[in-house]
Amino acid sequence: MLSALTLNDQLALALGIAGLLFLLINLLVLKRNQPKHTPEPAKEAVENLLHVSSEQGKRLVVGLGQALTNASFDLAGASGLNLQRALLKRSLFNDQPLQSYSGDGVLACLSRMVVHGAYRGALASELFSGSLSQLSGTSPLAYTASLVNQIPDSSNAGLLLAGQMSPVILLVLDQADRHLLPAISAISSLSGQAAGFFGNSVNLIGEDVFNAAGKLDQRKSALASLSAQDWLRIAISIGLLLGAILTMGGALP
Amino acid sequence: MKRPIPLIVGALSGLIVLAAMFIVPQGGGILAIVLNWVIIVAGAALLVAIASLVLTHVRFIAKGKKGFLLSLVLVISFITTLALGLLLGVDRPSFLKFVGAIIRPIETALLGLVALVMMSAAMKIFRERGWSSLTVSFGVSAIIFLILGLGFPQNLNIPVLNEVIRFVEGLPMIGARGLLIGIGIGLLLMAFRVLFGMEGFGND
Repeated sequence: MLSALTLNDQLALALGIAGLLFLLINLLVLKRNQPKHTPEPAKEAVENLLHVSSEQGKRLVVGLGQALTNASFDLAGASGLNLQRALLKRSLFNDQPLQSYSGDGVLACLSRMVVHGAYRGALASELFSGSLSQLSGTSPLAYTASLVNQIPDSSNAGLLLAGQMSPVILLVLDQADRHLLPAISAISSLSGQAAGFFGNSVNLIGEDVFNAAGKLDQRKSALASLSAQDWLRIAISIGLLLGAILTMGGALP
Repeated sequence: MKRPIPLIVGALSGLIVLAAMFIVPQGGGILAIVLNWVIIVAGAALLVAIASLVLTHVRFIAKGKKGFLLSLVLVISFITTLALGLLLGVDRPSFLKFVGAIIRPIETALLGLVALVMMSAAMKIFRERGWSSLTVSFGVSAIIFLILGLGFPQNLNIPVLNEVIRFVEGLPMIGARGLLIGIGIGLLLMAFRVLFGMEGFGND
């Protein structure tokens, strides 16, 4: 049973329990109407995009990635959905609605649920259209090729890449750069983050990928999750230091 | 308003799968069953998404929307592939050869393009992002790893130099681990929010 777990599994279990505890504590402690405001470059960049979009009456294009269930189940592939929902809430009644593209069947269906939920929540279900959230290819290359094709549209105000993507996505960022389209990449894979660094975009790395949505959303659960994230980071840093000391002292193999 | 029954069912299913991963070996059977369900549901979702995509493009063609020619190409290609797949069978070598003969050259061309764009982006990075500590670090590390990749320093067989090379080669892994820990923390908290219905994709 549990005793058969390796040291790594036991550590993962302990971290999971710690994360859950931190989240619950933060949910209980955090006051709903008093979110602390910390300047966040990612949030500012996304808000700028929204501002440009609503001012120019143009649409924002969101690429949600192509890996939720394609190769194996990867929750990081759904990380763009939070950002999509946060953006939708602020741009529902813009001249041009937010347009999102997914490269995975399940992701496309979830994304459509998010869009429909946002319109239904704003009592504007009649404005919802299935074409606002589309499947655009079922492999990384097909997805990228399809997204590249969407960039030159004159009704685009900006590009946001959020989710799990391969470095091939650099083609999309390059196309956006050529059409002077401001871009933000919040890609949850390491190789994708490297591509985001090469492309001329505001590039979010590490846990910042998950921060932007939470800061924009300002929902209690999202803010509690961000605080729990900070606590967990401190706990892991202390754990790593202790581990290093114990290893040097010979107490750990 | 969030509906409680789907939330409870979702949360319970998630917790059972999570528990099954840690209770070995008894949990293996449950995981295999759940994996089969996931494959079936994912397949059905893909079908729904494809049907919706084709319908959207058919509407574009009917309305004569800007760029409808591309929609026409998509619909014709889809119908042709579907018809050939149904008539010949998806495992038939001639069908696979036909599909492969179209897809492979396109994918190869795209990958070639990625290599060129990557090279050009690496050159442009200094012009676009300026001479910051990040870009300088990138340039220096690119040169160092290019030299190390050639293998000349290793061939000198100097013990002290080999130690230094081993240390330098480990640096990217340290940086990657730092980033992966950050991503892992974000994912863990996101997983809890999904598990306990705090995300509510489409429910709010």
